[in-house]
Amino acid sequence: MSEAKSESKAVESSQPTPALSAEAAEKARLKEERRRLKDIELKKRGIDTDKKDSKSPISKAERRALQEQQRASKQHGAQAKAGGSSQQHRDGGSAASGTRDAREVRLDAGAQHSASGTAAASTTSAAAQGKNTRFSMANRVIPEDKRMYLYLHLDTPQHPPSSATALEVVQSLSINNPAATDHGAGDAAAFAAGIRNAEFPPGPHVIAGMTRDDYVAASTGEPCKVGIAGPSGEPAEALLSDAIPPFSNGLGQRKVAKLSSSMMGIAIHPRIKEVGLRMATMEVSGANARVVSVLAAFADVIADYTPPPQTALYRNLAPHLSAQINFLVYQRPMSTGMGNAIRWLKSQIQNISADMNDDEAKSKLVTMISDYVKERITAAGDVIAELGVEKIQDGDVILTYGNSSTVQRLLIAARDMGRRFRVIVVDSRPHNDGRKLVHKLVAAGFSDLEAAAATTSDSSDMTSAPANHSTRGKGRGRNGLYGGVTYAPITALSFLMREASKVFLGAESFFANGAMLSRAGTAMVALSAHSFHVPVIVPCETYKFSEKIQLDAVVSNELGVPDALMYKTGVPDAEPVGLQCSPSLAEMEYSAYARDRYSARPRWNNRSSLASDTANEAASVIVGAAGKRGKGSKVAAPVAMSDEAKALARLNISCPLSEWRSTHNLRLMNLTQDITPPEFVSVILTEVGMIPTTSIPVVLREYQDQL
Amino acid sequence: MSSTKMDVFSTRELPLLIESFVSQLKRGQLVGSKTVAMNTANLLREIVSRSPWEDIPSLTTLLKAVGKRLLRAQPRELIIFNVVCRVLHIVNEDYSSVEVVNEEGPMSKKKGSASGASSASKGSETPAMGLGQPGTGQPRNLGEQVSQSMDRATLNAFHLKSLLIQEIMDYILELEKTEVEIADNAREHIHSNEIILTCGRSLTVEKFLKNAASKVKIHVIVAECAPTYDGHEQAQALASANIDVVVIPDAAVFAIMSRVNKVILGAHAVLANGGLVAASGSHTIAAAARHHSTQVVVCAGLYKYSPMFPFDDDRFNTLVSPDAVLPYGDGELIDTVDVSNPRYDYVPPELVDILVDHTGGHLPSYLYRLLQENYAQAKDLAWNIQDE
Repeated sequence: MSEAKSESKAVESSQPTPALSAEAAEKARLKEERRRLKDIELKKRGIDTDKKDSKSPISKAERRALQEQQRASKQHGAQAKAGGSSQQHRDGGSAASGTRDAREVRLDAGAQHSASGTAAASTTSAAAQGKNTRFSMANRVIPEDKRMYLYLHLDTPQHPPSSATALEVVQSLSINNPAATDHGAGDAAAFAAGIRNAEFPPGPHVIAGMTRDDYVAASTGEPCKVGIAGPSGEPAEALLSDAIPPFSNGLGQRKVAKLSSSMMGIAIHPRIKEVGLRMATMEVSGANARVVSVLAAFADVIADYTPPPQTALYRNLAPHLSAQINFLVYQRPMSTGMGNAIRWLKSQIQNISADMNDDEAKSKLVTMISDYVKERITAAGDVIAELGVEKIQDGDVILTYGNSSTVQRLLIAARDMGRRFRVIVVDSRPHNDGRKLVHKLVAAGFSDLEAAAATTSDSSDMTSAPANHSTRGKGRGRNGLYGGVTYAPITALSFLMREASKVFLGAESFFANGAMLSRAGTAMVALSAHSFHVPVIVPCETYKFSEKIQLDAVVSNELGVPDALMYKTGVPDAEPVGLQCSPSLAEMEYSAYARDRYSARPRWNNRSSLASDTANEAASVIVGAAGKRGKGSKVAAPVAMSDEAKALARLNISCPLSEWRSTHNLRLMNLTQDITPPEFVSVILTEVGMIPTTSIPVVLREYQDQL
Repeated sequence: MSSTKMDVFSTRELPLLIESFVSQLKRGQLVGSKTVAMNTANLLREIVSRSPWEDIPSLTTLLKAVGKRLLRAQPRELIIFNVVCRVLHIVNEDYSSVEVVNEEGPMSKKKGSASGASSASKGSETPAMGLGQPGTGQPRNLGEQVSQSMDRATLNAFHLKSLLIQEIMDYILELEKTEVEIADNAREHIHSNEIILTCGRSLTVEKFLKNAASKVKIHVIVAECAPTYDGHEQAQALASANIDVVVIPDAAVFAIMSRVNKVILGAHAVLANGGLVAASGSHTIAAAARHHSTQVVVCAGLYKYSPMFPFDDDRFNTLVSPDAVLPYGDGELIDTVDVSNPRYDYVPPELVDILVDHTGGHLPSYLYRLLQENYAQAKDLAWNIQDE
């Protein structure tokens, strides 16, 4: 009822009368008064709402681009407004058709906006290349990521900087948490800061409701080749969920959010595009990093959002956000942490009082987003690191799996506190995240044994070995009793577990039954630790707790790119990098879908793009080789054969799965998550203390009102 | 017989044979337990047939000397040890059976007991039966014949030699057929529409599954087994036999295990307590199976059963090049980080439900009995090889 009323009010106010405007002015004054009071109160509580002062780090070039962009969008807004009103006039005020038309207009405006965005991008890039080092590759998001070197080869236009407000959120993140930026432990903040500096191609104009095929076609400029998966022309996903018939019903990708009709045609913000595609290519993959980048992007979206003329922000923002979320989910299924954060954000939007003006509401929301990140992620991480340090003693052998930002932070914090311990990093395909962790640990001095020995000999009480240290791992290889890093594949788990005295694992989520959802392989590590009687300690922020209950990993899982399992990474003959070949093949060591990384689903069309040029050549090489072997005579190999083709041919021979798509009964299933049963987890470190898995429902209950 | 050794190495080809085999072992050119076993058995047969030994004790000394040499070349290769033990066992059994025959007369103990478990349970394939093949035109039992023709004093190398060579040939034949015979048991263990998980590359498992798939429909999940990714070849081989194959990363084994009906593993060697030396990663797979109460079936030929007890799990393991785990391209890390790349895993016997060899399934706890039948008398001799 109230909705209908306000709608009619909106329609009324489209033809303002003098009396009404006077009334409105009065209202505005009251509102202004209320806002000031509120601000004062907030300031008392120490929450900084006034973000507009901390603008200094924006460079001149960026600011100019920003102004240009704003001007452009204003113009388009005006056009849209004009168009909208004319439409309304023509339709004679029929509410239903009026809104539909308005939506169309919005879509149109969105298109123009994006076009102007691209224009701005080119001007920015010109300006930036001139004198600004801010966009240099040195400031990349995750500089140690090996895939990053690929960017050097990418000649892409630069991404226009988006609104100043969002920039401030990100800056406040890193400013308020110097600890976070100090040792790179605050991956989240560092990430958010990094993404700001990232270059990104503007890509095609994306609207909600586009099918993947449309999107791929738009981004690659060619007709979509997504459906190449099966010989019989079935789409790849169908094949995968059908991988093992007896449980084909259960196993599948997480459900993709349904596109409601109200979202159709809403323009996707470029930052959302960027974040979504980064997640799709697994460039952003950590649970924390994903939430922070998404929230930072939402801050941009909110800051940039202008509600349609004569409508209230709080009512239109939600569907607008939903469209953005839909795009994100479409790129990669949402993580629990993201789900929680988004649910929280939506409830905050609903709580905005109707009489707050748009700018206030926006700045309030953006502030709240930054507070959420600060409280629930950054500060929580600090508390967890402190708790974790207590659990590490000198002489410990800590085993960890993959690369968890929280664990990494904890280990480095412990090292900084003067603890001396060894770390074993267990890793697995296809992402080999653990290598990132090893790089970080080495950079933090974990493998500096002389230093470790010096400190330990200084303090007299450490000359005798700690009571609980494992003698078996003592001094093996380069490792000493008090330091060193060991790296091993997950198959070596039981070989190494005997050395470990504690296991630290990262979690993506905890369910209400105490089960832990995490990257695939975590359950095996926990199981192994359990059977070797090694305590399993899991640091996890409470925002990752979920009220759902899940019993096993097949019911719901995320299927990764099957092609990531196609090649044998690290096997000398199968190593594309080891061969003299062009970058496009070299890329594949680190990412199976490197070349088309910016398409909606790089995973599906990679193969065609990689193979298209060279497949025929390579195939003829293979045939030729086979012929030679068979007949023992000269079957002439193709005369001109590129190095790439040769490399691909060799690759195909040493990697028997490279032709898996043409074998109907051979499938690759890249499960990316698994569920660790609660009994394997000894303790969870949270910002509310150390709790057993059985206490998760209690914590959830406590936090219910905050959601 | 100190002179025996001299004699052997004075003949020209034998040292060459031994040396080339040793260098192959040292370079790691012999991959796979079957290859190693076949090569070792063939070499020992050559030694028995070509070297001018005079009596059984001298032959035993000779074989032990060669065995020691081989083991020193590749100390962790249990298969060499097994084969040497087995051949020593054959030599010994023959010798003692001949002795028994001589003492007690022709109608008493037969040589049939000599070939142990194999002759007891699977008549047609046993060495004893092989000896009595009609083509030779000999009486059923060669021991009998030997004993008839000569008494103990005149028992000479010439007659024993052909007997031994025949026996070793039969053993080699048994080795060759092992996989096929193990595969014949497949239907006893696999039901239709079962989902079976396996890991890495194992010819025995491949034949086993193919045999099963020829009769019933099965679905196979293959863990790829980093860092060699042998599972890829296994998957390709199984898929070519029209089996539904799904390849999963090693990390996903626990996740998928709740849907798996049976885990079928190959082994590099089986230890005396029933534990396995298997591809690295097998332990966690077996542990995951145990957690889900899924049966673990291990397919391993008799020649893999070793009379050694695992006092230290690492005793039988080798660490191989770390390159596959962390490419040398990562120069900075290679300098500072320890990279572990163990080739094998020790799987404790309590995680193994059944061991399947060519005679059928056995409990791991029953293994001692099989070992006694196959290695009993050679064991003491064998320990000397290991110790020195």
